[in-house]
Amino acid sequence: MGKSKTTLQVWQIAKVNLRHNFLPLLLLAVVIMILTPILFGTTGLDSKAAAVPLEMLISIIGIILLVPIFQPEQDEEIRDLVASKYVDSTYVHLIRVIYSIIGIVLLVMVFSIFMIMFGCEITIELIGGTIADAMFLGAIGLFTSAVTSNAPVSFMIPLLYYVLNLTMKSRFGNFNLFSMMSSDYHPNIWLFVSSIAFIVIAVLIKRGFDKKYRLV
Amino acid sequence: MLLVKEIKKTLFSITFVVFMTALLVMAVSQDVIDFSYDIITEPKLGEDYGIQQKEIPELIMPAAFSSLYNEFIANEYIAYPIGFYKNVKLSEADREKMAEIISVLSDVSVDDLLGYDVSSNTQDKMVITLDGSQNYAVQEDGSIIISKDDEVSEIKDNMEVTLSAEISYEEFKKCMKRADDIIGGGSNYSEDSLLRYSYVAVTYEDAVKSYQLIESADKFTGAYARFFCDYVGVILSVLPVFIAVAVCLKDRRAKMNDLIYARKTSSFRLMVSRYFAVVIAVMLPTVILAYISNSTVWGEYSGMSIDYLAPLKYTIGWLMPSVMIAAAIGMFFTELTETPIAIAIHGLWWFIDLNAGVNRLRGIHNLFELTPRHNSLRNTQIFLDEFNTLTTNRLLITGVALLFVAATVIVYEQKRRGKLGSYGKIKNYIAGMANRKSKSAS
Repeated sequence: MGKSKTTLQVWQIAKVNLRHNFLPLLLLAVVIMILTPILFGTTGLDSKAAAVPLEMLISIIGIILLVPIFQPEQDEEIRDLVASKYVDSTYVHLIRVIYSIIGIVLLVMVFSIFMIMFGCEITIELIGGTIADAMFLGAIGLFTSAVTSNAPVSFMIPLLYYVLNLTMKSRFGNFNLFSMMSSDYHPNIWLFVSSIAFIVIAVLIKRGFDKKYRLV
Repeated sequence: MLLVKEIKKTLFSITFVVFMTALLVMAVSQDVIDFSYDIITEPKLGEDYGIQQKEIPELIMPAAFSSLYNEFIANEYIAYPIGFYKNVKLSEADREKMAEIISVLSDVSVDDLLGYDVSSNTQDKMVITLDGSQNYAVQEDGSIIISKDDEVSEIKDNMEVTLSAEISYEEFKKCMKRADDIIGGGSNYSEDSLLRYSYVAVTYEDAVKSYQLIESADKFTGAYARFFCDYVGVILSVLPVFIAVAVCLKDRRAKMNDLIYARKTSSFRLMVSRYFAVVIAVMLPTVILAYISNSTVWGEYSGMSIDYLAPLKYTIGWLMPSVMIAAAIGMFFTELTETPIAIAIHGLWWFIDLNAGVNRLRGIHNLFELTPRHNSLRNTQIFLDEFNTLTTNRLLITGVALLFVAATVIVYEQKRRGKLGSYGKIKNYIAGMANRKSKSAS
């Protein structure tokens, strides 16, 4: 009985958040996906060349879907309302994190299938690596968002990381975002593990701020 | 004074702190903060002066033709339409058009070019009838026998199709442009790319001429200021959008909108002050950094005529229009939607322009570029040749930026009068649509 009540609660929170917060972001991510084949070649590519559109543009989906997770509560009225609710806000944040990651995985997979249909050599490593890239970019933005509660800065940090990777990629070692273009998948493991760490730390920091806010 | 207040507000924000850090990191990581390691010296006889691209038809024509023919045979064309690799496969209709171009260049007929199929040369014997008058026979050894009417000719599987000696360079360039158009642009046959087939060693005379141009036209410091702007421009074309978005969203977050709406200050004064506050806040540290970078070489040219105003001229003329458009787009879309959507809109333009800029690194410019590129301390002649295009581009970008500012003033005024809503309404509409769908489904 208790279990089904929790499931219903999770579903209801997810449903409301998906509709009001996630849908516009998903639309933006889909626009990026549609633009990718227009800007890049996505026909008959080997795995090295296929990594170019995946690493350079599809990975940006992570910034769009993950960074704004704490955004609704940056509005004071919504924060007051959330603080007054029985449900712990960390619980809501975790639900948002989970559906955003599911969104990233699904979109990357849809685009990978599209590339396979056009004769590209897409491997499991390439799909996983793209997901790791996207999650890492999103996670550092989410972490910034938890620390600063400032939306523009939260988007600025992953963009700067992206630009620095473009201009001095060799200096980033295991945190190189564009390693798959050189058939090196090793950094993607580091990126994936770090992204999980950043997300967990971000949620915990936010939890700390929320508790402090409730006490005040 | 409102402008000073707005500048202070911008300078003491976390967004500005991150911007400053990014500016410094970019300048240091790209080695444009200290030029003392890269002094431009007068060439001496016997030195290696490097290589350069030079338009030499005798080098370009055979190499480009051979490349086009090989790509035609494989039906795979490498192109970089926005700076990234694209593998273009032509449709049958476009392949025929390409065959016509190669036919003009080589005097080999279109039918011969299209009938030649490398994938069939391992068959025992295959006869392809094209139009009743032509027969192709592929034999065991890979050779092809083409019979047309009573005439029989033999072509090996690496059929030799060479450039006709009668083609003029002008005609050749026209054909290459057509080929580039068919591929979709950014191919190895675009006007700029053709030069890549023609690298020659820089002669002593060329090196001296280049040095003298840097000495007379750039007065040395101009070359360094231009190179600084090339790198710093990459991030200055995008970061101001974040600052502008942050400044505009701050009122909303602090619930100050209604209070400001009720003030006497006109929308024009408020928006224009806010806009120029962002531009000034961004440009001030940039000019200082440009001077710090440039001054690292002043001592090396003591006694020579150098332009101490070059860093100022270049940062204002080269960088400020990019800063202005980024800030204007940031303010307009933030006031219109009350969301950070401007970051996505401007970010996309910046991303496309940045990658398209790879083809302009030598110092080539176009009318609609966001970030001018000139990734070299030299190439002064190219800079002078392209100066008019660059000036027009910078004026155009400045004009568009001011139009966006005017539009922001109008939007703000309409919001003040309660005649314009925000993105919230659009968002509610999307959510409402989803609601209606789920209700009708249940």
